[in-house]
Amino acid sequence: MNAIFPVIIILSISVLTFTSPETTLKAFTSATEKAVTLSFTLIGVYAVWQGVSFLLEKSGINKKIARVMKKPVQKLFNTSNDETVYQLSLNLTSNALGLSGVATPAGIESMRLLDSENNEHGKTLLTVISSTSIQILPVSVVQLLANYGQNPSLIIIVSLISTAFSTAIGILFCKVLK
Amino acid sequence: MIVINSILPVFVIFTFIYSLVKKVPVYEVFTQGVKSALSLIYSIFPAILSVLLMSELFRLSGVYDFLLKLLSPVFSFLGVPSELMELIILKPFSGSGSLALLDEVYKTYGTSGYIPLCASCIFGSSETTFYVTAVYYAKCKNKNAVKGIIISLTATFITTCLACLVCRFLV
Repeated sequence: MNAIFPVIIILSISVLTFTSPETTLKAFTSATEKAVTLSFTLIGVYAVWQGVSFLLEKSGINKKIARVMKKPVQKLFNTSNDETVYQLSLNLTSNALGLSGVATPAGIESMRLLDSENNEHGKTLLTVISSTSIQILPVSVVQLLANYGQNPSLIIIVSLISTAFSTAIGILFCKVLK
Repeated sequence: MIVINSILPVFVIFTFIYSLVKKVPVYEVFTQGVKSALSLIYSIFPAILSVLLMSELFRLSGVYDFLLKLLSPVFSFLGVPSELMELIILKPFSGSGSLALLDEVYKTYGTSGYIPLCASCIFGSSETTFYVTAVYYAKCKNKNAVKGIIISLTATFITTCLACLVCRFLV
């Protein structure tokens, strides 16, 4: 981000200075407004899920989940820490189910733990898997299609194949470029 | 559909009952979790704001249109319909923006046929890479995510081209 962020900001504002300087301020206000609105929505979503998530931890369900997912996650991410395995499992399963409210906090925590283990391969892999998100039910597309009264089965199948494919290619690249 | 929809409530009920059985002080622990959401937002807000600002400037400045023109011959060479280029380029930057574009595609071309099918694949095959990466790295010390971003964008791009090819045979 240290490379991409300044390049895009400088490039965009330079262009705007010549084409329409007043748009710069407009972009600032609309972007910050969006960021604040989104953050407030997210506080609500994360609050509920963090509540449930704490219950998972205190009751010990997290250890059970981690045990089930341990072998594949350990192998894929090269980590042996139980807490990391649990957070990664939670992130991957909830992402697959389209529950970003659960997935994002778990993802941030996984990334922090991988970072403290100096596991750069794991961090890259997590970035790639989340960005090529394998999703069993593409919720937003289904909702959109419902507005048009369309049976979404073909589109769901096709997009499921394509998301699985992009994730597979991504993991393959990570393994090759490790 | 019904099965997938009911996973979530069943999971929540199970968690509550199991916690009661294990004698966890449910209310206390739940509210502690809620409290932690505030500090979570506190730590990811800088990432959210910066990425949204970047995307907004990218779109409004015309850099986006320029990139569109620049990449147009490449995409048409690879057999990607030009109607969908906008969606492909906007997707890594903005989730709501690309969802609006997808809606536009359905409105214009209907919900069956080659273009809508391709569009759905493109939308489904990736997340908003820049946003996800920035937020996930919020609590990391080493924030160098270039490798992950490049691999993600490449994998998505390859999938996009293949999806457009495969969809041709489906309709």
